Amino acid sequence: MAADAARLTGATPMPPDAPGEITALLLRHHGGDQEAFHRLVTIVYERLRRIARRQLGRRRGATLDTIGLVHEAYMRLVGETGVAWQDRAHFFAIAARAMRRVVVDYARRRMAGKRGGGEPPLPFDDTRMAADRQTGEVLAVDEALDALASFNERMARVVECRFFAGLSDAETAEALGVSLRTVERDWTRSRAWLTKELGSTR
Amino acid sequence: MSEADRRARVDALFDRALDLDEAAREGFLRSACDDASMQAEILELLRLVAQPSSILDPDRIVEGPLWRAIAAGSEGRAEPREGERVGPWRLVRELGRGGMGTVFLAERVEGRFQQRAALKLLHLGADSEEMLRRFERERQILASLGHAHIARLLDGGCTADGRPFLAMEYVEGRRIDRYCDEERLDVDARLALFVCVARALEHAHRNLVIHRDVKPSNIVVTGEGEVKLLDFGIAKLLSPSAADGDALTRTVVRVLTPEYASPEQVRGEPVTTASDVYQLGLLLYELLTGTRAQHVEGTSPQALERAVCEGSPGPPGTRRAPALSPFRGDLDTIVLHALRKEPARRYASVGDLIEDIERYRRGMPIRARADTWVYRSGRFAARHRAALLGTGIAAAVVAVALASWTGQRSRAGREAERAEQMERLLGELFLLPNPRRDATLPNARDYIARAVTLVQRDLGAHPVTRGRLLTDIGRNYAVLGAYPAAEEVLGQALSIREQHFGAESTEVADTLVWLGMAQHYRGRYPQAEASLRRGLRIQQQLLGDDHFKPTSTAIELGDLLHSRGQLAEAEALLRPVLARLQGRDGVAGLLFACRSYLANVLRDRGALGAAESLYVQAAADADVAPSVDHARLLVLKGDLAGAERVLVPELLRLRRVYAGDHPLTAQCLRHLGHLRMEQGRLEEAEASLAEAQAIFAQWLEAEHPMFARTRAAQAEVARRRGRTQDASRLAHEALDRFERLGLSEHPAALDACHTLGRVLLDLGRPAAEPLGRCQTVTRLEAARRQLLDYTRGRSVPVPFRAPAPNR
Repeated sequence: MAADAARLTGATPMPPDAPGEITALLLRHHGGDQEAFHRLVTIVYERLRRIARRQLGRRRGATLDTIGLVHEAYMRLVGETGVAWQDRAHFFAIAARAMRRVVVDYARRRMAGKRGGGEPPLPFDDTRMAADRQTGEVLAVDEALDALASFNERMARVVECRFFAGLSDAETAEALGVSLRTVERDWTRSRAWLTKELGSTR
Repeated sequence: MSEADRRARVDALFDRALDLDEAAREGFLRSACDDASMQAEILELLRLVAQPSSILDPDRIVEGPLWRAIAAGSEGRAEPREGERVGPWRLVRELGRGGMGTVFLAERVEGRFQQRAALKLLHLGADSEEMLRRFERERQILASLGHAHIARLLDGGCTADGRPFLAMEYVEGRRIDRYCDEERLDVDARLALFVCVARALEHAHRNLVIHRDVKPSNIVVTGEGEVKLLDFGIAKLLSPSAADGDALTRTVVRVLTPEYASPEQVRGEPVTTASDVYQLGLLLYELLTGTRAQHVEGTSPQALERAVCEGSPGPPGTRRAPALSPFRGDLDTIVLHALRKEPARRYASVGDLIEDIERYRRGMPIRARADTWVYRSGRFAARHRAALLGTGIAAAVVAVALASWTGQRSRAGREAERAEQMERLLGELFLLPNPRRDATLPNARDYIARAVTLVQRDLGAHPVTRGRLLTDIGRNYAVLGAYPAAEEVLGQALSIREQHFGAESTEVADTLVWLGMAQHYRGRYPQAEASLRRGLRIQQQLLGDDHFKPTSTAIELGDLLHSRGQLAEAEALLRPVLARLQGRDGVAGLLFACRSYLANVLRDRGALGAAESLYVQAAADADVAPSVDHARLLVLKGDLAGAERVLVPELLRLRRVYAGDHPLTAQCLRHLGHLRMEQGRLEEAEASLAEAQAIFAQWLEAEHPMFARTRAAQAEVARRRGRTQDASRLAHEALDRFERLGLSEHPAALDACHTLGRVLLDLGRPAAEPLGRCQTVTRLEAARRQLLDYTRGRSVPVPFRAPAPNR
């Protein structure tokens, strides 16, 4: 696994983020430090974006292996040793938040670019048009999710894990430290809420 | 109660209601809810549980296009900045950004000399490893494109985070379109500048490099008024070849600017030099009008295809740039000729385009003709069929029509019936393809196959017509390179004609000659010889020795004997034929063939001087370019530049004529392989031979002599590259093949012996073994060649003692 990761990165090593820092931040967040959470999300965000780019860039038409992505980010940021599995699960929840931010930030910039921003014309392709369609969707979901979080934070986190990070029910339960039943229940309810929200804004 | 509190409460009730069955829900909600609107809201949520929005599908994001765009785009990547290092280069300042990447002015920081470069950092999320492999393949060719008007490719590699970069010669200047406007150049000065650009492209085409992305922003004019073309072949580096897969070929155009794409690029078809001709047309249009010739509205592939493949800019004269004085209509014709949608209808080469421009500038009549109305009105219908009407099919049309006509005349009584029959046959043959029914569009060979079926089904009662049509069809198969099919159909035609006309008839002889030629090209030499000799005998008996037909057959027989390596016999046959033909009128075709074939024989017998004068005479009388066979002689003679001037354009021509591959293309590649070998460009030699081998493999059956010959050449390349094992293996394979075919005396078998001998000598082992595999004559010849090598100083002298001849 480690050997694989080393081989994959080959001659283009990524700048190290001190694993110690991540572990410390995870612990601080465990203790309820919101500042630590935001810092974690920022670090994970950068890392995920780089890994995702490489993962997709390796072969055209590849689909994103999000679980692999998060695992790899985790291995790079935290390392295997000395971290309890709870922290690993915990990391997944942070990664999910980070992935939401990656997608939403990108969608925002895209939207801004379309509204007369100064972006250079992109190469012309099918991906671009499909991505244009999804841009609006993503921004709407993001907004609806904020509304959801205002009265049920946990449900919003479930959506981040299931929708933005592509985690399964079981992985989401592990990441958020709740029961499988709770995840299923929250996912069902949150989708109804979001559907209602999306319907009312259109 | 705040909005959030209210929602939290709705959510709690919603959660509890989910556990209840339909019947119980209503009662529960009525009693639990604060008001009717809350009740309605929860009912709405309960309803939506069963039908959540598809936008919220769990895989929608992670498998969706947005993630892919994030990955592919430059989004969020740290852009290298001024002062940073990229490979051996230091970035000085940003020069600009484009669809493909960001360009920096860079300075070399490693190495002794100071060098500046335009360093292009690519956005593309392409696989950098694949990209680098392609780069390695191409860079040698690109680096060798030494031309005053082409900016050199200096370096390439990957940044620390895996982004590919290219360093090119840095050219200070202005884009050609701006230069023209700012300097207020008149029409002639613009044309002069344009011709400079075109000449640079012509040079590249001669070196088998296509630019693929000619546009004003890739052409810079320096302060001294010198034109420089940038980004040569870069588009190719960025877009994989057709062999890399369908999905990838479709991306070719994606990295290009839609306004400067050629129709074939948009359609994802193979891009040839004709594409550069088209883009030159766009450039000239823009230089003359100040506006772009193509406008792409919208971003869909459909919009692109519409704009490029169907839109027409109209004559530039009508939209002349205000600063320019009016120009003659001929210039319109030239531009529109370069801008034809079908590659085959444009100028055949950049050289032809240049020539017309120069003619225009000198006030001479140009060669291009304006589209006729017939062409214009027929273009829509023709668009889908143009590609199908290859060499053979046009002939097949004529054959069928002709048979119909002669049939009607000769049997007047059944005229109406036969006319109807023929009409139906033609109609069926050329039914337009139905994309829903047919998996792929038929090509010329499919049409011919269909014709065979129809002829056999409908003309059972007409042996004369059937025999004739099948003979014509067989010939067409042979022309298209489908030799087994040709032999089969000609065999059928032969038995029909034998039954109808009798074995000793000119009709049978005609078919026999074609059959013999098909067998020859198929590599079945003994059968070919039997067919040709039988045909020749019949023709001589019925028509006399001096008739056109037996003469032609004798010449073909001579060619076959050459292929069999029976050089003395071939010479003995062809010399008297040539003597008879010389000084006669109306035999130009025969004379050409006879001279060319005899020249091949003399060349392979080592009489290079006599062979060359025959080649030259043949080409001069027929007013054609030197043949690839002649080029082989030039290689043997050591005139490598001369051979290059023949082979490279010929390869381009063959690739154009036979849009797909063809055995002739492979043949030309094989000769090119020999040339590259002698030039010491061993990697290219290897590539050419490998491509030749691959094309042959598509067309020819496993035991074709051509494989033995190609292997022999590959063996020699491998030897020169120092790959002794490969060389030995390949040479043995070649010799085994020649032996199986009974061609151990063949000159190419000799080459293989020679290679093997040299390999063994290199290894310090006696070279007797390979020589033992050859016949006596071959051994002597091998000895002679080694001597020849030695005297020419081409290789190290090898101590060599010829074994005593044993007869």
